[in-house]
Amino acid sequence: MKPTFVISLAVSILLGWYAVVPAPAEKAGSDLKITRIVLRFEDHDTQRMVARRQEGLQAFADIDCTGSGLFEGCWMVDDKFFADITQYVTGSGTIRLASPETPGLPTVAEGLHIVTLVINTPAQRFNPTIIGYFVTTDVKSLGLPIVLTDPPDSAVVDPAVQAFAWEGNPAVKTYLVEFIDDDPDRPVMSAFTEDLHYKLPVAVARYKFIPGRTYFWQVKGFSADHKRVSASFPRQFRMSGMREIDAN
Amino acid sequence: MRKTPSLPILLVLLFVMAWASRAVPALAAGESSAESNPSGIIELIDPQEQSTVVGKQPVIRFRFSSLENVEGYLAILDGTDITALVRQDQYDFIYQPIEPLPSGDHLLMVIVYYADGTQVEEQKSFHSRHSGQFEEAYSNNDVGAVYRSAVYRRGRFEDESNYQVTGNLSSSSKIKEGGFEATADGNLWYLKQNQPVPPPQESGVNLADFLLTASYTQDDMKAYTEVGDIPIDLTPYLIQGLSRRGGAAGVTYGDYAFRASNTSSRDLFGFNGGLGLSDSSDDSISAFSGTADLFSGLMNVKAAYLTGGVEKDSYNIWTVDSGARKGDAAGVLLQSNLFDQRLLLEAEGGYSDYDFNTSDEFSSQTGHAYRFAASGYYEQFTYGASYQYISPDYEVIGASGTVNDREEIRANGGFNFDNDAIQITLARYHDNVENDRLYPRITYTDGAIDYTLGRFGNITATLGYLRNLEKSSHEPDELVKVDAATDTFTTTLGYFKESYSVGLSGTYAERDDKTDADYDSRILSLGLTPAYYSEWISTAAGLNWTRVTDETTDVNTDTFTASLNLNGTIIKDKLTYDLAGTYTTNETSDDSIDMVSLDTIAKLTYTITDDFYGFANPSVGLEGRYFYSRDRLTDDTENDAMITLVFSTSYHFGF
Repeated sequence: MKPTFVISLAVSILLGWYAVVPAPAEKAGSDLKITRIVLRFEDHDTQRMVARRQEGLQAFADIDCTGSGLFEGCWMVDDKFFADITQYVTGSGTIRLASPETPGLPTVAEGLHIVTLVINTPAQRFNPTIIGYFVTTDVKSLGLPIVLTDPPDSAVVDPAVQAFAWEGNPAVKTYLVEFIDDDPDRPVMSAFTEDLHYKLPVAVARYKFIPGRTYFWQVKGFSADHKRVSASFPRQFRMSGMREIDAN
Repeated sequence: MRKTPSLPILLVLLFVMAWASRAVPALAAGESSAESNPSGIIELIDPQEQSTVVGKQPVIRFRFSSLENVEGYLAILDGTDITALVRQDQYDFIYQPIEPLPSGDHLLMVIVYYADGTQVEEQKSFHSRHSGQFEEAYSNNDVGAVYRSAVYRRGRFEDESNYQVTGNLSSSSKIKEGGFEATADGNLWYLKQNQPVPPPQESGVNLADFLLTASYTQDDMKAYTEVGDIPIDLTPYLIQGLSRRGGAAGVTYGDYAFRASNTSSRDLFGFNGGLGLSDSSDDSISAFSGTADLFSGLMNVKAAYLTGGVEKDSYNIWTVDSGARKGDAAGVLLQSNLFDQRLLLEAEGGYSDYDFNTSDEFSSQTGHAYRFAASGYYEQFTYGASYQYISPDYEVIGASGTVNDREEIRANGGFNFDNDAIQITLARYHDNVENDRLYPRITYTDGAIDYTLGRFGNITATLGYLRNLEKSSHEPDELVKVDAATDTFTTTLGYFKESYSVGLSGTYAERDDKTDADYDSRILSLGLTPAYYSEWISTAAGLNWTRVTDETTDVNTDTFTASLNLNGTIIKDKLTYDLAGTYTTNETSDDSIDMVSLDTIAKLTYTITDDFYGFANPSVGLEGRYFYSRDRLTDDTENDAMITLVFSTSYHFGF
């Protein structure tokens, strides 16, 4: 790396951003140009089957571009406007666009639906790109996510005093709290409960969790007939040192 | 000027630090804090200790030798606290799993708390199989079928099919015995209508996706093969997160792994392209990777190579140079986790040989890239810093989002407090890394600060500010100069309470063109997303208003979008309703555009019975669609409607 590059960065940080902006130049430019568009769903698939009434289905676009400028376009579903996109793109590279999560892509009518991206600015010629989702006859019974309340995201947690809590869900009888290290399929520890909170038994926390390490926690909900009907979004926490108190 | 990565030096450094960090005392994983483990405190009745039980959700029954002075207990099955679901039947404590237990060995641990404050722990083990023939065996298959017949059509809907038959099959199967395991997953759909189906879809049966796997595991060794839609995850400078149809085989042995794959370079739709396997490098990607975990996971080394070509883009991809391309690429990634995530070191190098157009007279070009990064945390402080260099001709076949021609330095730091967090990011990068005098060099400087507040219980809030500066240098006379600053302020406010939520968002951004052209503009965007869920009514709505101001012409362009998803139940298990729609207005202050449109769909569904000879929820529905648009300037109006009768049912079979 060139010394001037490092010095320039350091000066710009120390003196503030305006310090590195020179006097106005003679001409204008840096037009935004798109070099590649990839449409996909969240897991990089391009065809997806979803249950009717599924909430939160999103389409994504990875767009490679050069230059900077205004980007304007819209998401279309079955050749009809779905959502507007307006933002600045700066600094060449890849931008990731997502269709709105609330409400998500429409899942009322069963069958195949085609998602396309229309770009108005920059004015370029693009070949059409599409992805498709197929709404099945399965009905997502309730889209109600479980809302985690305590501890807040990224909190430092002392398991001896901290309870993990969430909002109630009318469709759920039994909750499963999962504490995850790095593999979501193999939680470090989990617990079934019918309450709206769970406190890690200190005897377990002490040998299952490592102080200082970051973990995730999430809650899944089961109906009275043992069907999984809801789940929370995961939250992060860091395990603090564990106090020497009597278990429970 | 070409740069030479100091990988050998970095390797030595990583080795020394990894070795040094081994001196950190081993943490307490695996150690039990419970008291002595006397036998006979509990008795496992069903299944008996160390016996094998056949069943997916076997009842587990245990009994205390004495309940005297027992104040409480904790029952943990395979790491899951099941205490809350254990019911007492006289002297027996019974647990009925609510989800299938995976086959294999199980451990029931019971910690008993006595009134005098002491506690004892006892562990009992048993083995389960899903059936007599196979340790684990299941097949879940769901079939759905829908028939739609239009009873009324007007306007644009007259071009749509007056009937449509759709169906879907989702299948997931697995067998496992000893070290052998095989899975088959797939999704099919069927579409038949009297109007043509837009490509790449085809009328009839279409294969959405499938994956067949087989593996054999013995001790620390596992060998596997996969055919279908498989992931390709190499290194960040090669390919990550790509999914393509083809085949893969691999072997893992302890801390070492090797994987090879051959896939189509295009996304394949339906049955076109078969299994995706190809011996032609013109339209396929062959990838090879090897990984090694060293020093008990403190260091990870991954090396990868891929070769292949793209003849034409997939239906979901557009590329500015869409001719046939070929290329090879190789990369090495070193990652080191020192002092239990307090210091993560990463180094990566990549090399590519890429022909941008195999039909022209120019040969392939080589490129290289490398980066070094460090990140970690100390107490509540998190940090990160990185440097990367990517040459102009660095390009990887099949990769999306490959940035090239960039030299970049980036740093970030943040504090995570109990209820809030702050993060600061600084970056500076430029293109034209080889100082090509035919082009200017544009240098970008980014500074961002993000603040997250979660202090007020159900309320979360974020504030963000991003400043981006871009400036050109060494401009040839004939090329324009670049000198601009873009400021972006964002804020979100979310409130969650039981079954409803409200989200507010706002963005203000302005771009200051400091050149003589003075092409300045700004964006103001406001959003509101309320949602409510209950057994009888669920709704999610989105309201968004955006104004783009071109300060050169002083023209505002306003876009307003209101979206709604509403559904619920009128008569439980019998009559349901759905309503969804999008209302949009788009207008400019110079009266060059003034449009309004409304697109809605409403559906009333009556479920005839919940079971008809095995068919689940056969139902009849009435679906109405309405589309309205009007150009207020020309008074052109579209007023379209369609009413459709819908019959649907589903069928589940499996074991």
